[in-house]
Amino acid sequence: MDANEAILEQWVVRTAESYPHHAAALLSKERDPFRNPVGDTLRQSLALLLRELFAEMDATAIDSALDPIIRLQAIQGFSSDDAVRFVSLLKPILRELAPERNSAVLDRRIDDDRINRLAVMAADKCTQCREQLARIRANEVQRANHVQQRIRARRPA
Amino acid sequence: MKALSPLLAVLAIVGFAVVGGHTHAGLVFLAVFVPYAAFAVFLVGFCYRVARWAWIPVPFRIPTTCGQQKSLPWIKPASLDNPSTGWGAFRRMALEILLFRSLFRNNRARLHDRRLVLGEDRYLWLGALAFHWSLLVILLRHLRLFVQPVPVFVSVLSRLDGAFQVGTPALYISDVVILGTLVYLTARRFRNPLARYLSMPIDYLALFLLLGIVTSGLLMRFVVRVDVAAIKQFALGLAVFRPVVTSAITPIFLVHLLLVSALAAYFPFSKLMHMGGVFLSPTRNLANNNRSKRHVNPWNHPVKTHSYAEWEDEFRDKLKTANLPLEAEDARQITGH
Amino acid sequence: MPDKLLAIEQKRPEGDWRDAKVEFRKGTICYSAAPKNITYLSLPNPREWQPFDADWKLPPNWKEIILKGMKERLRKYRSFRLFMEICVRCGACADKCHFYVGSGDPKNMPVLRAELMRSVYRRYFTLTGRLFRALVGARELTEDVIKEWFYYFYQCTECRRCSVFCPYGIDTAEITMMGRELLDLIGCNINWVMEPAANCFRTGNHLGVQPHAFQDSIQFAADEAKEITGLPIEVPINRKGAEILFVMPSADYFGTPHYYTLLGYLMLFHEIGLDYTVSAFASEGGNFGLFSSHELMKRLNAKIYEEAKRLRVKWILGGECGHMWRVFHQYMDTMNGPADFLEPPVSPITGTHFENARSTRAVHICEFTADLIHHGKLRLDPRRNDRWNVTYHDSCNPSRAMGLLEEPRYILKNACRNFHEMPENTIREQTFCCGSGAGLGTDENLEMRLRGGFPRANAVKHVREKHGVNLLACICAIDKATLPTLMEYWVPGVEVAGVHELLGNALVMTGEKERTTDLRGEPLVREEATRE
Repeated sequence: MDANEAILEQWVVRTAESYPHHAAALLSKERDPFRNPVGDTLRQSLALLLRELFAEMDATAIDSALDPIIRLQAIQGFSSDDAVRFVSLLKPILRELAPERNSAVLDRRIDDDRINRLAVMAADKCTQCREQLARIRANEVQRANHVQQRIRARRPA
Repeated sequence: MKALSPLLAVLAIVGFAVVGGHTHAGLVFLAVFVPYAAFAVFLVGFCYRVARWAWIPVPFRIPTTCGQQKSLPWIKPASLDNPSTGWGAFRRMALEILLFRSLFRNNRARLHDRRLVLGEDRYLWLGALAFHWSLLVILLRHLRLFVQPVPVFVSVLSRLDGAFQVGTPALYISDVVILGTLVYLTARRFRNPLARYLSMPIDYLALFLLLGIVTSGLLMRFVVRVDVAAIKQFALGLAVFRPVVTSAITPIFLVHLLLVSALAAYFPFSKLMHMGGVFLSPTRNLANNNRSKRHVNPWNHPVKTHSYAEWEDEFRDKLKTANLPLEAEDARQITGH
Repeated sequence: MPDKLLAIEQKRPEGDWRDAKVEFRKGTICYSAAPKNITYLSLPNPREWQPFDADWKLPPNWKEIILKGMKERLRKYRSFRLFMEICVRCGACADKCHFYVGSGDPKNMPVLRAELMRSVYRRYFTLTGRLFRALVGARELTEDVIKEWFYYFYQCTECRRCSVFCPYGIDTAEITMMGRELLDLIGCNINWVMEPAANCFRTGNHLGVQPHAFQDSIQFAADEAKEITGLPIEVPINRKGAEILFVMPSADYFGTPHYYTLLGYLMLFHEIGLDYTVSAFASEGGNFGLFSSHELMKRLNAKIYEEAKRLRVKWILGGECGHMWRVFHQYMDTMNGPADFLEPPVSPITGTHFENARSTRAVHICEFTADLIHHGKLRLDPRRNDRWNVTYHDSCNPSRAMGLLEEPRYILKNACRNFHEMPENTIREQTFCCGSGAGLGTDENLEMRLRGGFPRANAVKHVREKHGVNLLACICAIDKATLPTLMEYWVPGVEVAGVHELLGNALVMTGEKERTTDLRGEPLVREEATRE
């Protein structure tokens, strides 16, 4: 297992451990994307985020990597802070694993600053998701009464 | 720690056997009285449980359909996974009981690794299947101890089972398999995080009893050899209700016998009753012919409904405004004429 | 390093599942049933309460009621007693539940959901449970256990997916149904089930649509079908002597995208000149009684045969609805039959005898339409559906309580040119629930629904990314109500439609005007030869 993989693995496991109900056993172990879609999504998102952290911190790439994971976090009953806490979980992992990693990766200066920036982006995304929840709730109600609304619109009483 | 109490229970039984066999009275009690009592409990308990299930009605026909229904003649039905006839349901049950069809269904997507992976759950299927089959073979092989002359199929089975001829006495395939699968099934309860979380002490008890039985059996065959002829004499005596306590009853044999008795006596009180229950499961043993053949519920009692007449009464004005035909009004018109 | 990693990976859920405390949080539970609905249905203990209240205002002898109720049901349902007794906790079902997969809450593993009840069963109904308690997994029945039951039995959509994988066919839906029946006895039920049930009992449909409004909606749909096709489409209501009574879920004439499916039915019936009627009394095929108790199911279902008899029809045709078909297929004939006043169904167009429905005398619209297409009775222009790249969601009940798998696919493949299946372990008998069935599809429960629906959405996402799928077809009213929400959140860009909406689009009708829009009123775009 190379260093990056080890970091990712730790990040996935610790994120999964932050889930309520002791869900880590399922989330971090099962690799079938259809049996364990949550775990799979965490893994994929975190892998992409890690790559960006080590590379250019491309805003678009980060945004699309954050989207799936934040969507999940936003509906798991976390408080807003807890929903994005997975980002800061990376700090101790890097501290722990960095000495064992080759220096080439270290040179990329994955410092707390980048992680903090990511955390801010994650928090924004989470707010967006929560707002969207309110919207889709309203849309659902609207769809449910669609016919009546159209009847009323067409034939004013 | 959930496994501790069942482990202690099994060890206690072993202890009883080792200590209790030292006196003649103890020997008679443990080698004669206990097996009879246990066997009686097993028989009565098992029959009672199965009969109780069988007596409870199946009010609705609720098969779980696992394939295409039989509908239009040009659509191929899944006659095994979604049987539409009694014969089909019989075959479905056979597949379930002989090959553990449902357990086999645990497929796994292989998108990630891009190679064929036999998932953990296929191991569960394989382990469970191998365990149950070897248990059956072993039980049948034991018939040679209780029946004289030994039935031909038992001798043939024993010969096949020992076909590999490894060492003397021959190592039976079923012995190896059952030990391996029991170890796997036990290890799975400890190692698989989900299985461990949902396991209860009693789940370990059956496994430990079986492990004890298999181990003591193997020990008798290979390590602490026993006089098989004498044991057969004793077993035959038990079988015809003229038990003779002989010197063949060594501590190791007594351990084996007592563990088997414990398992038999425990059987009707436990989840091991799935052996009988699986035959009665209404989601599996019924044909999915719901719409072609009426299923009768023996206790189908009447319920309070809201009849059309009450409904019409309540909404009469609205029905009139909407110009929808009315029953009661029709009736009035007819009498008016 | 890897050693340390493994150690963490092996970490199992902490704690003991027998601890009954649950936390009720808004967004993940359904609210309690309003007293007026309970009273209307003459059910016990109507009162104002909410699940997050500390005091649930249970009747003083609630424990006795529950235990008596269990005892009675253990005698009446073999499934119940058997499923209480034969589970070996092998764990094959553990990761088959969409709520478990989507939330990770271990009590959503089907085996544990059932253990919540089994533990009580053992304590009060078995010798070993009375003697050994914790060792054999027996639990006292406490108020916390009741709350836990409420939480988890209203967190199961009775989809039966676990039952497919269980070596003994243990069906959690049966256990959940018993759990809900028992909870009903002490007045612990949810409004999203009891209000539709009360409405349905009174007006004939879940939405409480009264006859004149029913007529309004149907007329509106007929008018719109007229506009689209230029044909004089009429819909008979409560017409005696029609050959066929058509029953659909009420959402079909109330909400979208259901409504487009209704347009599809109406156009189809007009084109083949079907002699049918709809009924303002039997104006609901769906049956929320199924989500409450067998008794309530029977009470609500009674109107179907009653109305068929009154209208002197020959047989019943049922629209696209999942749990309606669970009831029609597995319960109706037994509960309210025999339907000897009807005739074994025969298609008036093709002469096909629907042998599989000769006793219940109710045919699924997909069986009916597939037969029409197979006999070449319909002219279809699948190019009209070219804007859709379709996948099909098997609704739980038609797939696992019926086996209606090929008929809708056959229709889709004839009505559309772009069709892609989702991965094998997410369709047909292994289909993932929408996460909102069995009465859980309410907006206050949205977060839980999004968790439960995530496995389904994830599979849709897969085909969206792989094949560009943009339409999820299904044959269930609850799906049509809740999958759009699921898609909006998880897989934006995928819409939801009924199979007969697509059929209606493709249906070339005799004498119709040139179609300029599809049933949704969107301009028709034909991609001539751009797709294979």
